[in-house]
Amino acid sequence: MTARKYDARLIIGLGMFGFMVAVALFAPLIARNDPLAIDLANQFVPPSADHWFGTASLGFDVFARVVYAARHDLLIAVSAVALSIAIGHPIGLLVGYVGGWGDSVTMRCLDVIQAFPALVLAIGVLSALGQGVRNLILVIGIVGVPTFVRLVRAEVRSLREHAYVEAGRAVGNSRSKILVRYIAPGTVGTVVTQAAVSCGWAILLAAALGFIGLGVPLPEPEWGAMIAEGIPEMRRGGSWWIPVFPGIAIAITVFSLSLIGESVADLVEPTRRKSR
Amino acid sequence: MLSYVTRRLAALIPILIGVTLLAFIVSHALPGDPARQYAGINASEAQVEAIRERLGLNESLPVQYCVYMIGDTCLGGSGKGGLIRGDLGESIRTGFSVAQDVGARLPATIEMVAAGMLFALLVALPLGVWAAVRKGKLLDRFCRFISTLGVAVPDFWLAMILLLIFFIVLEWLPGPVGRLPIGATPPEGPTSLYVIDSLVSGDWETFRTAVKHLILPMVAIGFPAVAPILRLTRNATLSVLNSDYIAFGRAAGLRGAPLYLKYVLRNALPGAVTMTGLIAGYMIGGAVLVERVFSWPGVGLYGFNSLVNTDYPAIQAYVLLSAVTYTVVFLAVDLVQSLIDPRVRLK
Repeated sequence: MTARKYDARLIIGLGMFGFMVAVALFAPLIARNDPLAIDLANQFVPPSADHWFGTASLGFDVFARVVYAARHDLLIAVSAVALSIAIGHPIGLLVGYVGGWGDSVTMRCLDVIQAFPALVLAIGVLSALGQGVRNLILVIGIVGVPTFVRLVRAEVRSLREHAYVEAGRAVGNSRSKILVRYIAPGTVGTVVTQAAVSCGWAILLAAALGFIGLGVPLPEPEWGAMIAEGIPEMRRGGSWWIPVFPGIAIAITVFSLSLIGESVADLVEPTRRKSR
Repeated sequence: MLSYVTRRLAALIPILIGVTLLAFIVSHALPGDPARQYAGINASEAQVEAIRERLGLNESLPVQYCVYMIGDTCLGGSGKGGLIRGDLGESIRTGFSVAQDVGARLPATIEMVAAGMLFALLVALPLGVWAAVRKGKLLDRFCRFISTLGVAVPDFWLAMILLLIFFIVLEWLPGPVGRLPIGATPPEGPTSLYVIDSLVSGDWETFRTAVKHLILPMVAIGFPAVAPILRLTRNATLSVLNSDYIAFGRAAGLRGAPLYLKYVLRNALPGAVTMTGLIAGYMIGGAVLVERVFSWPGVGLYGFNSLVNTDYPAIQAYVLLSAVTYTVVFLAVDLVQSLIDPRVRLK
């Protein structure tokens, strides 16, 4: 296959993700209705010209809420991944390069953290810390740290054996300079790839936490929590528009991030293309 | 091989101790007072205090952890209870022993996860092989699209969409009421897996209802697993198809189903089964959301309800169970792979 095809995936991915970012940024221009406005006369109204995605309980406008929720979900996911990288990348660089007992201790700690299914760990820690956007970012960010530490560590361990690093050492660079100037730049590609994938994963985790009621506190709109609002209505038999639209928003966002992740991975690591 | 197994098992011990410590810290950091929860809203301060004393909540945290781990020896007792004796403690919320509580709910989760993984394998294996055979063709691209989409769709959302379609609109399948209709008697049997028990005892009526209740949870849990298994199978099949022995088999006149079933699939299978095992290990604790949508009375839902009610022993047991299954499955997978490929042992 030609290289052009991968660019197409990247372009579609970036386009879709850019669209969601634009929706989040320009939410007040896109949604005419107030996402927090209560309208008791119009509860559970099916999609119409006034309410494109219908209304939920208390007459909340589902379209406005899906649009405004993009702000919360994207902010949480992007900040959480930034936090994971900010903590995980330096640790991975350091333990990968220095090795020794610091490396062993770090890896055992990661083993313990990763022994928990991420969702279980996040639910526990978040219940202890309490709800709120800041705590969500903190928890999702911390749960994501081990991935980056392992990834960067593995990369560093292979990079430090390269001839160019040895050459750098031979001309008299200090150890810290070798790490920062010679090895660290080589890890950026994998980190960027993983960042896109982790971002999608962070959105799913944020939505899952919102779904069980540990996310952004109501009445603020959040996709996962909006889907959960559909459960009681489901038992009463209807109002499909309440859970369907926020789920589609999640799927579009995560799908676009996976496309970006895959195509960037192919760019960074051309050998991967062969199996395509 | 034996020394490798011992080494891996020994490495497991500090991890598991770390897991109990983390589970303890997290559960005790929860806001809320289990004694007050237990006593009810009308209890007097003295009653709450008495319960707190009885549950041992007045001891310092290190002592409480010690009691949880090695029993009342820490308090100078005769040596009863404690995790090392296999005692998970008593649930504050239900009053039963936690082991009993979890044991009663585990089959529900196992039944759902096992069915889900079976579904994932049945979909992903043939599709993966087929996609590899048709590499680059429309079907292959479609499979890639599906597997990228599969990881983008939250399982709890899929669960609700399935309910909307098959329960509310089409009315083909039952609603989210759990494993059997409300009020129905569960089948007697050794496994507590309703589908198998009813089948063994020949109770066709129960079997049919149990299967009907299981279908949607099975698809919701299984669908996200299709994507990784499909990819793995496709790539494994591709490398098998390019191998010399397949070229030889073809030259010798093998083709069609015998070639794919006997030679290609068999070599692509171990990877797919490994992946399925790992996902299943994750799902034992991670199925909370789907269980919640279907009111499925499994361990995930139990763990979540314990969390909401600050039921320390129950939360710890749930978290421990999730972590242990995940870790043990991981280890088992590693060991099996080291049997197949001895080079793994040298790492």
